[in-house]
Amino acid sequence: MAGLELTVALTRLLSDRDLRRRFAVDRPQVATELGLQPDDAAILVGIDPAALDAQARSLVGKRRGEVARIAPRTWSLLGATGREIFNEYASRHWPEGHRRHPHDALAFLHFLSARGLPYDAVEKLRIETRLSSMRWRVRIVRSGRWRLPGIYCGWFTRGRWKERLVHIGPGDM
Amino acid sequence: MRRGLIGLGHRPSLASWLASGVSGVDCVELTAEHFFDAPDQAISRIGDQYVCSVHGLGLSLGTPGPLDAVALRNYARVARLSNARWVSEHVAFTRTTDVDLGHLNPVAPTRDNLTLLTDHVQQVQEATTRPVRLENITTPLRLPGSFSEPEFLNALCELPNVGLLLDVTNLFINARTHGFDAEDWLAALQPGIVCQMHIVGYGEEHGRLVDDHRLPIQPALLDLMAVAAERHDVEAVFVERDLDIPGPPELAGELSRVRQALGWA
Repeated sequence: MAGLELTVALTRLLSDRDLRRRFAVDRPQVATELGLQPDDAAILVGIDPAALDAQARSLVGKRRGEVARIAPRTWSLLGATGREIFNEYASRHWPEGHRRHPHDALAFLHFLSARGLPYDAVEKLRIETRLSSMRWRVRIVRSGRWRLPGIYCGWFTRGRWKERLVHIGPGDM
Repeated sequence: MRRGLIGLGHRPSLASWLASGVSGVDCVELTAEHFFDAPDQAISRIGDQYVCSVHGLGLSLGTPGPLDAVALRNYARVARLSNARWVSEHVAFTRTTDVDLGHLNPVAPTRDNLTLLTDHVQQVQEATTRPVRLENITTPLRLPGSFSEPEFLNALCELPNVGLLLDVTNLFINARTHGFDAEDWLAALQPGIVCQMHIVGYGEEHGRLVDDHRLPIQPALLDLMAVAAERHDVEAVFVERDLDIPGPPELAGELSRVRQALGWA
């Protein structure tokens, strides 16, 4: 079955940085570990580790781009460290399904929250709300540089979400 | 050479403009997954206005085992509601049972993968009852196998009602990345198998070309597209911008440049 089990092996390599590092050092050994038949092993051993790594980086880069688009304020808060933090997160989390990009963004914001890293609470609330089955939501949320409270109102109408945020007091929203 | 249709990838930010009925946009390509949660009416309204093609990102035709039944059902629903003239997917895999990688990855050009993809394409045809167009992807990863990429695509397109959706930008990027001649690659395709084309400007990152769908179409891409169109009977060309999507005048200008380059003006 040349090529079929190979697809499964490739997926493991593309999603596992440590396995890729070992592949770069000893390709036949990793092919054996993955239990590939000789035809598949021959194809795997013929793969350029640098190209494999480039493909893996491209996959994470596309996810990073989508998350930055969905949560731009959080991305801005992370600054130059964002890329590295996202890479660490992305190597362990693989969202599924056709709404994977917002799920990815939400999981990333949870990841930041769990580690005490900065994220924008309004963005988190917005993504949570849009992924939920709710039709409306009102919450008090702290956001911006001064973490001042605001009232978030979201409601679903005519097939789309509308939102308002009323900030209490001064500060950058 | 016949004159085909010229259209755009449908994007949320273009929805109201397209809904106003744009002359010069002959057809639109709906990304199937973007419409999985859309109400029936929203999809059929687009189909009433434009010739549609439904384009999949996540059927993962190259994944061993059966296709995801839910994804296929949703995909077929979008095709039915939009009254799509064609449906399309990539010659790629995006997931296995272990992990959903979420984006396109190459399949090894082997005989077993040819059989697998053929079975999956037939399932898509049965589910949608529409001609299927298969798209070449761009990737830094080249997998060895028993076929060259054009041979593999030729073999897949031997199926009835299956043709190639040639992504001109992907071909251009792959040629630069892997150091082959894009026109030689085109010459290795069976005459007539290219039915549709995708085109968008390429980006550049750390000295490598990337398909970020962010920039206007570069002249070299228009030239390559014209070469392909001379050898094949192309039914539709789609401009597929995803990022930094310009305003209507600029997009109309892009479509006009494509039309002129193809001699379809």
